[in-house]
Formats: sequence, structure tokens, C-alpha cells
Amino acid sequence: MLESIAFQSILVGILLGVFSGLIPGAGNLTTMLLFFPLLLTYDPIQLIVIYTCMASVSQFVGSVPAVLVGIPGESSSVPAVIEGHRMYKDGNGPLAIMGCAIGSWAGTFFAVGFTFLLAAHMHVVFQFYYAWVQALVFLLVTVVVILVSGNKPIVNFSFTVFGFLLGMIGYNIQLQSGFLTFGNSWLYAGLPEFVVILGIIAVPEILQINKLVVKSQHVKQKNNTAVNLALVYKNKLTIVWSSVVGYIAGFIPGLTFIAGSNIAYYISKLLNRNKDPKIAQLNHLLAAETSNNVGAFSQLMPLIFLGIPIIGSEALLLSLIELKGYTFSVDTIGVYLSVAAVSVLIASTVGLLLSWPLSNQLVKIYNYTKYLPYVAVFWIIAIVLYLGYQDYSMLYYVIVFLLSVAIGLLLKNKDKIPIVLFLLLQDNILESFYRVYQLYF
Amino acid sequence: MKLTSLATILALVLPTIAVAEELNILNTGSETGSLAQETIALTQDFTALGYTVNFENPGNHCLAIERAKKISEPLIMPWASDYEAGGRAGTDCVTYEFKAENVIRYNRTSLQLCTVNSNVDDFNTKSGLIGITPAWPIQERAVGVINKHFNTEHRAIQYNGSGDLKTALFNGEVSYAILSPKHAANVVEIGGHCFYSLGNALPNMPSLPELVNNEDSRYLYLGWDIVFLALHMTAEQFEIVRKQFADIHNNPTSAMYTYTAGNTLLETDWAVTGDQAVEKFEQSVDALK
Repeated sequence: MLESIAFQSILVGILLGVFSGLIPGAGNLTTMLLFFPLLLTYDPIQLIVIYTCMASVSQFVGSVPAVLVGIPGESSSVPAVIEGHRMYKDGNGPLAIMGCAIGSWAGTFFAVGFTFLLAAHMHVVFQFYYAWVQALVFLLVTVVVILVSGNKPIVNFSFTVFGFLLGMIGYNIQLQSGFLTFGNSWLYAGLPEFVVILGIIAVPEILQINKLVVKSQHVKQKNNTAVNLALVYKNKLTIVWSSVVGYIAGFIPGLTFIAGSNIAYYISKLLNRNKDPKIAQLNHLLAAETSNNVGAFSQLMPLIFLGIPIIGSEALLLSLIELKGYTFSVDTIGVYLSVAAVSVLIASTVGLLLSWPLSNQLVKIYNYTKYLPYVAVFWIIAIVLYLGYQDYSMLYYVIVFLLSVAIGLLLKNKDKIPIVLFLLLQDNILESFYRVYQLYF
Repeated sequence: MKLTSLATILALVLPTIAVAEELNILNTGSETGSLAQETIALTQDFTALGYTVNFENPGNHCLAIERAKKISEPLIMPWASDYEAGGRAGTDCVTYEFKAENVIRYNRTSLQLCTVNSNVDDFNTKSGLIGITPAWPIQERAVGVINKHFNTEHRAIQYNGSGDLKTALFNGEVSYAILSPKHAANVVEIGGHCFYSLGNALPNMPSLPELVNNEDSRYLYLGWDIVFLALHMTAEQFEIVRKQFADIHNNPTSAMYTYTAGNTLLETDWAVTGDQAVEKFEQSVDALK
């Protein structure tokens, strides 16, 4: 087995993960498609290694631009934008980066440990996919978000409804009809979620428009490694419980680690309400970043144990492996699981090195970049235009982006995460409740 | 050696990407279902042929057709008669009109009834939950016919795609599932079994429509006629792609050959002309409406 885990496939996986994490909106599926000819040359074991490493490292790397610049690498990086970038603006950027890196790294070890503990009982774990269990999880998430988000509960409730309605826009397969499409073909496809997130969350964060003045990001960073390390260690319990949350959330089809990151974030807000702001922020970040790395591993379990992909990138992985004449079956569980486990542990250690010491150097560079907000916003606009071009809907994307920025600025002093979270969760929530209705009523 | 190969591949691929012919492949099914896997396989095979392939996977047939309308470059996409039937009957979201000269492949797929934790005797006598995938109205109608014939009260439960449905089958949320041959084969691999064909009889699997054998049995011919369409191409491009498409199916090293298990899981009729494909497709749509 160890012979199969060639150095080269780990390196390829790590490089793909860096690409996926650093390029906002890219994601693992797009990355795999872009490098498809390369992936064709690898055998199934190596493909498992590459995919596992990519999925892990992308979560490490995605949090770096989120903390330093306020641009989320992925939808799972939104908490890192909110809490991590605020820490950076307060001069605690190195602590934020360290927290993301160590939380992610430690969480990966928990993920592997949970998996081997549960391996013999995975058929029980898959009862998580019962519709009533999914509906209950989403109901609990809704209650937690309403109670602990940074606004009054009535405002939080309004934001969850607003986010849910934004997610409803378009053709809804459960309802078998359009919602707020007004007969428009753009709206029929729904809102481009990542563009909405960039507009509502990222741009206001970067611009820091509190008094209609754009502030420079030139903030001196407090870089005391020993002190920061001690702080992270002191809050190690957060890593433990958020690993559990992330592991479970990794099973949610279509969302996996994205859901885990955001759910863990909200639980942290509930648990750390009365703590010192700096400690609370650190815990929120630890929770989100630990959770998303754990979920990036547990999302593989339905594929390895049942041969069922639950997200697009896994469907492509399945296809690549079948092309080689292999499949996922009872006979392959042991091999694929072991390979994935060893790969993710190696990749996460590399991810730790990439996202922690390297980012310390980047922090030094950013200390001298007065025009960073303008560069960042320009980069975001370029991303929006590119994504719109890819989707043959550039004008639509620009309009959605501008409207999202307007909403983000209008709500500049509010916690807007509930809007974004329920935009992302809307499909799954509706599907699970509708299925409960079909099954039991 | 591998590093050298990697560098060589990159050196060859990178400039190639800049000049390779572009091709869009659009999955009109669910994100991880049969059509997704089939179009992913095609993406792999056409990429191996040197095309720069842009794979689109919107997640359902409604969004896919909206996407198709926006694409003006060479495009390959499947379209299924059950989606069309639902659209024309007003029970589904969309219809799509195509021409005979755009048909690059025609095939018929019959679905199968499968179970993991139950058996055919219980299916015939007791009531349970049957998982179905889009197009739901057509499959729900078939469940009604089954209940009428066997005097049962099975209920149809909707799932967005075969991936979700298989999970529900494995964890026992539903007792039975209506699946395409590819997914039915997966279920058998994991320890389940399929006991009725919703088309012609297969070895060790009787045909449910033939068993029922009454005026309603036509609604039990569940499955679909699929046409793969090649759009926005010149006549020359079309002929090249059509030949490549057929070669892919018959090439033992191709992803499509693997997906179809050597063409055993797909009833592809290469002798069918475009006009004949349209005629058969329309017959299937009429039967399913």
C-alpha cells in the first residue's frame, strides 16, 4: 500500500489543492476538469491520493486570502472572512492564520480517527441520510442561527428568511415551478451563489465602509508565535467538538464541508457569547476551519463505502476510477480507506506548513501594501466577470454582484452570515422537509 | 520517470489547450445520476481525443435546457423522452425541440425495480415505499398501475437523482427503487437484487408490463429513449464527431465502454438514422404522456 502512495501523486494533489483554494470560485470540480488530461495518467489508488490531498489542502489555503485580504477562497471560507479578517484588522492576523492552520491540521487527525472507529458501523452512520434526521439537523441549525447571530433574534430571523428566499429564486425542482423568475431566463437558473457571497460579505469587509471612508489595510501585526500558540492550545476543546460537527456535516449531499464550516461557526457563537472578543473570534475561526477540513475527509465515506458520490467532484473521481476498470465495492473499502487516511495526514501536515509559516511572510508583505483594498476589489470584480463569462451571463452576474454589494453596504453594521448561510442551505432544507412530508404525512 | 512523464505531458498539454478544438458537453440529468456519469465519461473520452471540453453540470433538466439555449459553440447533450413527455403534458418544466440532423446517437433504456432489504413476494403482496427519480409524474403513474394490479398501496417517494435514491435504498428509508441499468448493477454489487424489468424481459428478470398485460401496462414501460444531440456544428464537424462518438463506444479502453460495461448496459442502435430516431423518440413521448 505505501508503495502505491507515490510522492508524485501527493505532490500533484497538494498543487491542485493550492490552486483550488487560492483561486476564488474555482472549487475542486473545476480544478479537476482543468487538469483532466493529467488525471487520466494515474491509477485508482493514486487518484484517491490526489483527490484526498487536493480536498484537504484547498481548505488550508482557502483561508489565507480570506484572513489576509477578506476574499473567501471557497464558500466554506466565509467565517474566515468575517472573523479572521477582523482579527487581521485588529493586528491579530498571525493568530488568525495560526488558528486556521492548527485547527485544520488537528481536525484532520480527528477525522481519520473517527473514521476508523466508525468503520465497522458505517451502515448505522448512513442513517444520517434519513430525511427526518436531515430535517432535524437543519431545524436545529436554524434555531441556533436565529439565537446567536450578531443581531437581535427578530433581525436574524428576517435574515434567514431573506437568505432562504434568495436561494428559492429560480426553477425549483421540488415545487416543479419557477419562483420570482418573472419569465426571465437568467433568473430561471437562480442566483449565482458565490457572486452573492462576494458582494454581500467580501466587498464590504474589504472596503470597511463605516463612515463612507475607505481605510487602509496597513495594520501592524502582532506576531508572537509562542503566545499565539499557547492561546490556540488553551482553546483546544473547540477543535474537538467542531471536529464532530464537521464530520457529521461532511455527509450532507452537495454541501459537505461548506455546511460544516458554517454550522460549527454558529455553534461557536452560541458557546462563546460572554467571552473576551479576541478569544471569541479565535474560537469561531477554530471551529469553522477545523470543521471544514474534517468534512473534506468525511465527505469521502459514502463514496468509499457505498460507491455513491455526494458532490460533483466525487462523481468525476468515480468516473476516473471506473475508467481504469476499478470500482468502489466491499472489497475496496479497506484499501481506499487506508490510502485516503495516510494521504490526508501527509497533505494536512504540508497544508499546515503552507498556510502558517508561508502566510507569516505574506503578512509582512501586506504590511507595506497601502492599496490592498483597491487591488482586492478589482480582483473580485475580475472574478465576477470571469464567472459570468463562463456561464454566458456576464451582464446578469454584474447586476447580481452590484445588487449584492448594495445589500452588503446597506447592512454594513449587521451580521450578514444568516443571509448567506440560508442561501446555501435552501435547496437541502426544502428537499429534506418535502421528503419528510412525503414519507410521513 | 513519472516526473519526466509529468513534465512532458504538461509541455504537450499546455500548448495543446490553446489550439485544441473546443467542445461543450452538457449533462441534462441530475448532478450525480446516470446521465451525469455518462456525460462525464464522454468528457473524458473527447478530452483524450484532443478536444478542449467544457463540461456543464447544472443539476437538473430544467436548468440544463436554459443553459443549452445560451451556448452557441459546438455542443453535445442528451435529451430524454420522459422529460419531453412530462413537459408536453404540462407536468414538467420544459420541452426541447431538435432536428433529425442533430441526432448523434439513439438508445433506449429500460428501468428496473430493485431492493436491498425486501423481495419480490413482499412487493407483490405488501405495501411499501418506492423511491423514484425525475421525471416523477410518469413514475408515480406507474406506481398507481402497480397498486391497481397487485392490490397494494405502495407509495412513491421522490428523490432528485439516483445517487440520493440508492442511499435511501441502502439505509432502508425506502424498500424499493426504480433505477436505470447502470445503478441497478451497482445495487446488485452491494448485495441487493433487481426483480422486475420495466421494459422487455431480461435473463432472470421478468418484464413487469408483460406480466400485468392489460390496457394500463403501457404506463409500466418505464425508461426513456435518449437522443444525444450534436449542435452548432458544421456538417463536416458533425460527421467527424459522430464517427468519434461511435468509436468511443466500441473502444475497450474508453470511459464510455467502461460505463456501459462493454455496451451491455445500454441498448444502442447505431443503424438508426436521425429521422428514425426522431420517430422512435416521438413514439416514446406519446406512450409516456
